[in-house]
Amino acid sequence: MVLASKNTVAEPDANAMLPEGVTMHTTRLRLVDTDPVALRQMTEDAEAAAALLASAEVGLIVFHCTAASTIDADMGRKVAERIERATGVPATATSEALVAALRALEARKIVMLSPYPQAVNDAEVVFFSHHGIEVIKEAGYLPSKGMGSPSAAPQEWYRRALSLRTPGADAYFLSCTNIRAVSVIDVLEKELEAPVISSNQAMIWHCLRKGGITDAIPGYGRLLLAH
Amino acid sequence: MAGWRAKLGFLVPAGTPTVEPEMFQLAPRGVSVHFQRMVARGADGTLAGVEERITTQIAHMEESAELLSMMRPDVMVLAHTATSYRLGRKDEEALAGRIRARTGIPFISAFGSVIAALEHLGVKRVALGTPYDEKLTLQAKENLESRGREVVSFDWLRNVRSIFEEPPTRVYGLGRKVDRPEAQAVFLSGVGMPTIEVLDALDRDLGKPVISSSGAMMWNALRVAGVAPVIPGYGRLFSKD
Repeated sequence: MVLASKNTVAEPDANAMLPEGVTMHTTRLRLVDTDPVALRQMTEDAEAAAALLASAEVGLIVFHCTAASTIDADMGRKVAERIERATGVPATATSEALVAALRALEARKIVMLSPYPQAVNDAEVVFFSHHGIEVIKEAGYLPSKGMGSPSAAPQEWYRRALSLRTPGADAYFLSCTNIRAVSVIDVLEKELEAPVISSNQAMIWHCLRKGGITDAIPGYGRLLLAH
Repeated sequence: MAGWRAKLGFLVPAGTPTVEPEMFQLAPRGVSVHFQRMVARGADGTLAGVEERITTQIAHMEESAELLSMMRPDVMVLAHTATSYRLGRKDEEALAGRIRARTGIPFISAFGSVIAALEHLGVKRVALGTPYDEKLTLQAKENLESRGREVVSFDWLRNVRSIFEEPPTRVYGLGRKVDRPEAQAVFLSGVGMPTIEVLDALDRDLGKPVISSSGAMMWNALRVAGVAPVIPGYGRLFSKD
C-alpha cells in the first residue's frame, strides 16, 4: 500500500478488515496539503515508492489516496500502469476500487461525504460522472483548523452521513483514506437502508477480490459481506 | 481512534514482509503501528546484498525518518538490527540526535532496545543466535560486548535462503542450540527473522528470558511512548512484574 505521509488511519483499518493469512505492507509518499497541485505532485513519485514494496515480493500494489487517484478521470489507472511497468507487480488505485465497488453494488446515484475542500470534491464528482456514476449530493466536512481529518470521531461521520439522507440514493460514500469511518458503516447501512462504502473498506474489498480471496468479512457493510 | 494510547512508527527494510504482521500482532489495545520503508539498494533478504542495503539505508535514513514523522508518531523505531551493528553506538546516537532535532520525535533502534531490555532484566551474560553469516554474527557479538554484555555462546543459522522465510522450527531450534547454563538470557538477532511466534515457548522451555530484535523494539517503543509494555504470551520481558 502506497500511502500519503500523514495518514494514520489506513493501516489500522486495513489490519482490522484483513482475513487470516493476508498481510498489508506500507510505504509513504510526501503529501502536505490536500490541494490539486500537491495531489498531482504526490502521484509523480509512485514508482519509487512502489519499487520498495515490490522488493517485499507483495502480490498486489495499491496506490491508496482517494483525492490523488480521482483528480483526473484516469489518474488512478495511469498511476497503476506506471507502477506495473516499473515493478512487474499487478497494481491498482483507490479510484479503481471505488468504481468496482459501486458497480458491484449496482449504484448509479450516490451521496458523497468527504473531508476535502470544494475543489477536490468537484474533481471527484467529475471522476465519478466519467465512470457513469452520478453524485446526487456531496458535502465536504472540514475538521477545525490545524486538526487533521483523523481528529473527527467515527460518530461525527455517522451523524454527518445521516444528515445527508437522500431519497433515490443507491449508495453512500465516505471519501478519504484518512478518516475514521469503517466502524460506522454497518450501522449507517441499517439507518440509511442503502449500501455504504468508504475508501479503506472499498480498497480492501477490491484488493482481496483481485487477489482471488472471496471471504465474506462481517462488520464492515454489505460490500465485504456479500460481494 | 486506533492509536488513542500511542502511535508507533517503524522504519523497515524495503524487502521485509515480517515486521508489519508481527507488530500488528503485538500491539496492545489503543496502540497503532505505522510504517515507512527505508530507501535501499541491494538484493533483499539475502546476505549477499546486506552490506549495500545497509549503506544506502544509512545514507537515506534522515529523509525516510522525516517522511514517517509527518504522521506524528510518539516514537520512531529503526527496525533493522544489522544497521545498528554497522553504525555502532556513537554514530547511531548522533543519527538519532539529528533525527530527533529535525522531527521532534524520539528515535530508537531495535538493537538499542535489545540493550535496554537486557539492562531491564539485569542480564550480563547472553547467548546469541542469528540468521546471519559468520562475519555479521561476529559484528553482532562485538556490539553486544561494547555495550557491556558477555557473549557466552553464539551461532548462526546455516543454509538461509531468505531470513524472512525461516520457519518456527528453525528459529526455536536456534534458541535452544545457543543456550548455555551460564547464559542469563538468549538473544535472537534480526528483525526480519520471524520470532514472535516462538518467544513464549522458548522462554518457558529454557527457563530464562528470550529477547528478539522484534520483541525488544516493541517493548521499548511502548515504554518510550509511555505505555506499559505488558503483553501476555510473548515471554517474561512483556510480563507485568
